[in-house]
Amino acid sequence: MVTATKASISRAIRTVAGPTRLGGVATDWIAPALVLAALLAAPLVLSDFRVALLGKFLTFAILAMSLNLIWGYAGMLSLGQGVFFGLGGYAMAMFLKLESVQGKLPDFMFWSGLTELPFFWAPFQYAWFAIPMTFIVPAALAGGLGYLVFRSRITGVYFALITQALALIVSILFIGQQPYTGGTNGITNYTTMFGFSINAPSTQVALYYATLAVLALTYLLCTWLIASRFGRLLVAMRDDENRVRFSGYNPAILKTIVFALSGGIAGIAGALFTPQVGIISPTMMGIVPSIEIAIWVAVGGRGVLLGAIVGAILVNGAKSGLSESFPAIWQYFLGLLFIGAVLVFPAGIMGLLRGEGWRRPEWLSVQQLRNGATRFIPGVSK
Amino acid sequence: MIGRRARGIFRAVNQNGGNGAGAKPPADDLILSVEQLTISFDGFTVLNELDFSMKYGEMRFLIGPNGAGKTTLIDAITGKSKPDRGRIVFDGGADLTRQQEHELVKLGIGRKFQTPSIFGSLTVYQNLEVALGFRSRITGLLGGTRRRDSDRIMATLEEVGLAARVGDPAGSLSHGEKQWLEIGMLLVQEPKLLLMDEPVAGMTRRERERTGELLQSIGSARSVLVVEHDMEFVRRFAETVTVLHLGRVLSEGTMETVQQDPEVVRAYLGHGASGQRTVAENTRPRAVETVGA
Amino acid sequence: MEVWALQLFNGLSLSSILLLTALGLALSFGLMNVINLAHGEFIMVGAYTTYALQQVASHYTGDPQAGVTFLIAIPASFITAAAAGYLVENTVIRFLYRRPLDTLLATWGVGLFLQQLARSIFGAPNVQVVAPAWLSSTVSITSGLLLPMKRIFIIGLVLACLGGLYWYMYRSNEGRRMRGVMQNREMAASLGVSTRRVDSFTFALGSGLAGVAGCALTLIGPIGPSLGTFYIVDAFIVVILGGLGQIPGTIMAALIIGILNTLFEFGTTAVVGKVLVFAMVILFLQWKPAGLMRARGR
Repeated sequence: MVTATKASISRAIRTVAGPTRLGGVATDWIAPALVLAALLAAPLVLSDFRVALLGKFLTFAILAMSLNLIWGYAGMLSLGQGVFFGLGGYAMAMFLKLESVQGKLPDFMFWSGLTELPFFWAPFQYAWFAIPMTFIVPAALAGGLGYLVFRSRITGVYFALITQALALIVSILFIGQQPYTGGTNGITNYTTMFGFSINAPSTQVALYYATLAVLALTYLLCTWLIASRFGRLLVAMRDDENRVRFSGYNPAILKTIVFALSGGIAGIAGALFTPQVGIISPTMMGIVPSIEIAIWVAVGGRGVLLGAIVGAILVNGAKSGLSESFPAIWQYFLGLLFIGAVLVFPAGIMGLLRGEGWRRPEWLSVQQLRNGATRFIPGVSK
Repeated sequence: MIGRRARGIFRAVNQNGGNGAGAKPPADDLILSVEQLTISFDGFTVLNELDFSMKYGEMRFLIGPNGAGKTTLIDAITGKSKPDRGRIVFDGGADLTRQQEHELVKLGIGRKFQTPSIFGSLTVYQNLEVALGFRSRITGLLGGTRRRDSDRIMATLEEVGLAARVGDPAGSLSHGEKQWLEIGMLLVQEPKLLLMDEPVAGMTRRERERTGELLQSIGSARSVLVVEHDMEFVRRFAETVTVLHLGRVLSEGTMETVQQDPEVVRAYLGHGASGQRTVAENTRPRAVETVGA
Repeated sequence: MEVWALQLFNGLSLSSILLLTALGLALSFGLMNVINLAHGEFIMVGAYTTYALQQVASHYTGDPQAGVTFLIAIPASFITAAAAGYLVENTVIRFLYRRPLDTLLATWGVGLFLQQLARSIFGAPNVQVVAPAWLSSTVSITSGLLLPMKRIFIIGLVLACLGGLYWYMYRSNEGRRMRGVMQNREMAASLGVSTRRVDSFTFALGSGLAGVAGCALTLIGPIGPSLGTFYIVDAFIVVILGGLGQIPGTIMAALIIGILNTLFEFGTTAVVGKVLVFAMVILFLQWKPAGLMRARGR
């Protein structure tokens, strides 16, 4: 009896139902290991141009993971994730710009009529300040807004729309404050990073591996978080936030923490994006890029950590392949992808790989019923 | 056992500290004392200067016709509804009407909802694990579950009869099993007062029987307040019954006394009722649930 | 004094446009809990319908300013957008009623598709609809206060739409069924109301109102494939502030946001004005999380 109980306990601990269920060795360890090996080997076989492109996609993969953490697990769809990515990118761009101008005033400030460096720019010349800020600034914005929103028990669709409004507001704010942000053009034209020429292929490869390392670390961090009791609580909030509250937890605090963490991770992704692409601009933080992140996650598979990575790389690969030669076709394809990822294969690629087929995970409906301020649900007669 | 006692002392100390200066000390054998509680929605008074109290270790059933304010009373005790006037004193502490839901849970008030409220994607075990961790700090939640805790989870699962389903996703349980799981999630938190809103709603006869026995064993160790419409069930398992009507206590006593109270009969039959209905037959039609049961 | 009167008028004018764009959203949310991110594209469909109609009319009459054309364009925009909405509801949204967040994504996809369709048909550059002569005048209230006729016309159009909506909801049989489903879907269904039909019709009605908004927007400036995206977030803010799905709340919220936005912009800049309005809405929701109005109950 005792041994049977022990066995069943350990089985129970290992098994998480639904999308958080780790689908055994294949999807837990072998698939991520294969992906990692392929990404490690990529610079050996790809051209410099392709490596730079893949490096950019890896920053998107980190960004997608930040959304997967809150959406796939905790059930909160943020349509403002691009803002946090952008803030991290801007913090890094400020550092790079100040290193490049070497004590002089950045060009766009000069053209906007500023005569000296604004006070909040000054500390960004130091890496020890700028690099932590790529995490802290977006995390603080996400945490602050999140706390206000979650404290008022705003969930589901309301939360999604408010974060979408955030994307609009922050992007127009950055466009409007030309002297401090570079306006529509953003911040660009950096020459060096820590003294290395930023366009040199060797620097690009180094940045690629740095991004891959951050991606791997983020993956491990998320894996650990999801497996902890905190991770269970995230899933619990997705299933039934009210029960979490009546179990003695304050969901507002838990959600604020995970939203801030997600914002911070998105910021780090942005910080890695800026030096590889050479520019950060408000177009990265608007409504359109922010919602596109959701489709990377949905295509890859919500609630599966690897899914976000796979989705981000595949969708962006398809985009750079298609959108240059056939921009119109790409737009139609993207539109259909949004519809299809939701209607036809809601479990995403990882769901298909796991043999969950084309079925929709049950939690997709349960979660939103409970979280939204819903009164009547059409199509449900029971 | 030692752990439980230590926790109890800790809680008692805590509450003496939190006892407000102006709070009237309640009679010490009362775990719950509701005084002059008034709640209205859009000008419609749901609870009207309601006085209600329960003793330590008591199991009380709350009945009453539609709109009597039963669920609203539970909402008020658990912090879901904020009263316009009145006080609620729990376990010799301060007035709790301004506290938030999760704070009240930490004081020792557990609540079971009418429709089973559980975490469908998590396993049965994990559901209890989440419930058990409610006193942990955030940093403490980052680790796994301790050995002692898993023993307690298993013991609770034995108690509610779900030990065999420990590793199954909670979403795959039957309706009755979900209800027991929710009760188990409350038990593992060792509340001082357990509030149950229609625990046998939607259950089969056999499930009702088992739930009744479960309630009796739970009730032997703690105070329990049960809202129930199933009169057969009430008659079988209730010791003391309180009848609520139009936001006030109409009658209180054993089921037999209450049933013979002419006020109660009138309340249940209503003014314009033409049918010859008895208390026993008046079970409210199930509200249509939108959440798939 | 006249400055303030003009600001107030501008505020009202903005409110009326906000309301027209938000009404359809509020309607479909109130009934079906569906937030339609393609709503902006239905606005765009209405605008291009007006444009296309004018192109055809000027081809045959040679007079691009033909006043009648614009009056015909209003119902035509309504019908085209409503038809598009009906189609979308029946092919996409009806499968997603239990998944509001997924509906957001799917309708965004519909929006992208429609935008590209407009680009393929009408080209990416903006086009201009020529307003009829009788709308291009101004009305002088006092010597210093000239109000553009177009703006007054739009306010009138919004009032007419509100009146029509009121009539539909409270006086017609179809509207009675709709309110029945809004209040208690199961009960309505068990009394023989086809909720499926009511859902489709309501969604089409909401989309049609977006089409009318698009038609009105052609009076204000040039139109392009991404016309809707400029208005849609503001419309969402209105709907959230009003209390999702509440028509009276939506009207109030549109008035408040339109007037505040104009005043803030007047006092500061357009960007700061928008940021201030957003901050105020977030702070207001701290106080009343359900928005201005909600169906209160136990």
